Amino acid sequence: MEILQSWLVAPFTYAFMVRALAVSVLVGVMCPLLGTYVVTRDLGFMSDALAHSVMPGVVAAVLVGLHPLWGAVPSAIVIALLLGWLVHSTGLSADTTIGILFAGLFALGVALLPLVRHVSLNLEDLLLGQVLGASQVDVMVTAILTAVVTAVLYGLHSRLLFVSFDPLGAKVAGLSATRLDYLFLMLLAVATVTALQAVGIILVISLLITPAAAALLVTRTFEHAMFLSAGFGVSATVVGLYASYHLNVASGPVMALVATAIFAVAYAVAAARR
Amino acid sequence: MASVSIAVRDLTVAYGDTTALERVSFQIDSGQMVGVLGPNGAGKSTLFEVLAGLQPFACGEVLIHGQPASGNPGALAYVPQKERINWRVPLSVIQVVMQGRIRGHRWLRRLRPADIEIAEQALRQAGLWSHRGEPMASLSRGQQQRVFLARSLAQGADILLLDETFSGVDIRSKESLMEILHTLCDQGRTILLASHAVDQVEKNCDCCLCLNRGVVGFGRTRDLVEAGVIRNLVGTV
Repeated sequence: MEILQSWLVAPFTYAFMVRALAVSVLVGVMCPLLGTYVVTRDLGFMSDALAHSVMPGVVAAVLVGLHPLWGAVPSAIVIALLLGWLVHSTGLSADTTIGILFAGLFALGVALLPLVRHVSLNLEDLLLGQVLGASQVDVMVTAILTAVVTAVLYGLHSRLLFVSFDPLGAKVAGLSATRLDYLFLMLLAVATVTALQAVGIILVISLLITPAAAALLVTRTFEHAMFLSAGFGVSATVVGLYASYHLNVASGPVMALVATAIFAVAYAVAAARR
Repeated sequence: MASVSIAVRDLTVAYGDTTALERVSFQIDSGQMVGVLGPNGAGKSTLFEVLAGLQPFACGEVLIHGQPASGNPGALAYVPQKERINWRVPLSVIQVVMQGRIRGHRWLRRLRPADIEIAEQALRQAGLWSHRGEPMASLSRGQQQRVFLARSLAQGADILLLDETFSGVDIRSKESLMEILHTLCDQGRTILLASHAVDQVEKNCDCCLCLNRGVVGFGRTRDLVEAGVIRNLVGTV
């Protein structure tokens, strides 16, 4: 019992672990809430592309001495709107458009990296996340962005659901589906860059997609799936954080692995019910 | 005397160099059920999109209750083809019907009790109250179409656009759907029914609009049958 208590409590005698826990819980709630829409609307590739495409923005922010999020959030929003506009206005498919921007901007970000060698910007942290390095400012920014995303999502839920389920019917009923799509992409952009701290560019998709996909397997309504996916998301990030501390491994990959394990269990439960 | 519900004059719609509709003119009174017949690519879906104010057109005039189509959001409701729905979104029957009341409700506010009452009443009218909590995806095709009809009723729309509503629906469900549609027409609602099911249209629609990019025939269904217009078009349907 004492060993278990020490295993659970000991990590949080360190301030950096408390900050990491706060960021993990916040991101673990926000990403899967949005992820339920992402999975049902088939926007997984879009989310992955957004995460990769913010690299130039992050490098630019660090270059002028700002917090990386100051570069990541605006550039993610611009990229999301640009993606939406290109998909709506060109004859190219969504996947093609996303692929072009994703590869081009990620390559630009990597090419710009040597410019910021004099500043501490670790490529591995950027790609795989480093929640243990979260500062007080990171916690506050994550809390504010999570609150904004959750509030907007709550306010627009029924409209977003209508547009996701029956876009044409929603337009005929008088909803501005295009405007709602753009707004959703902006929320997705904000959530994606907020999660970079925890799981990094490569693994952010695991928090957006995997908990939501697992929840959708074992629930009957969208709202139940949202709540359960948030539970799965928090479980993945918190268990991943403990594992990272005790096993001395990078936090982002462990969080992604735990999320994948949760999905495997949900799949088994869903299969057993059939 | 019935009022004019839809008036279309010299409507032409083009996508780039391709003309989807050319000089289409017709007029529909309130309370009519009009079958829209035509082969694939005849412009039925384009016409529906124009009526709903979603599709810009090169020239002509489209009036819904005497006003431009785009200035009348909510006056029309759309009953979609199954293929147009994203079935990955798991919604219950009552959630879909409640969508009909969304336009009037503000951000961060729940639906008002009056809106909920209207949606519930619409679902009862469609005869599916006992299925209200069931997932949409678990219903039969005919039941799903009745739910979409209930949503249109909840929306308060008095013009319903039905796109291939009978496709994949069994005979009993077709009859039950037709019964609801006739009741709605008796209540003054105008129904446009795009369909490949010519027999269903001949049997149930007062009027027919035969399209093949332009208007091939428009008038009383019986007259168009007798003149052979529908038979000629059916050859291409």
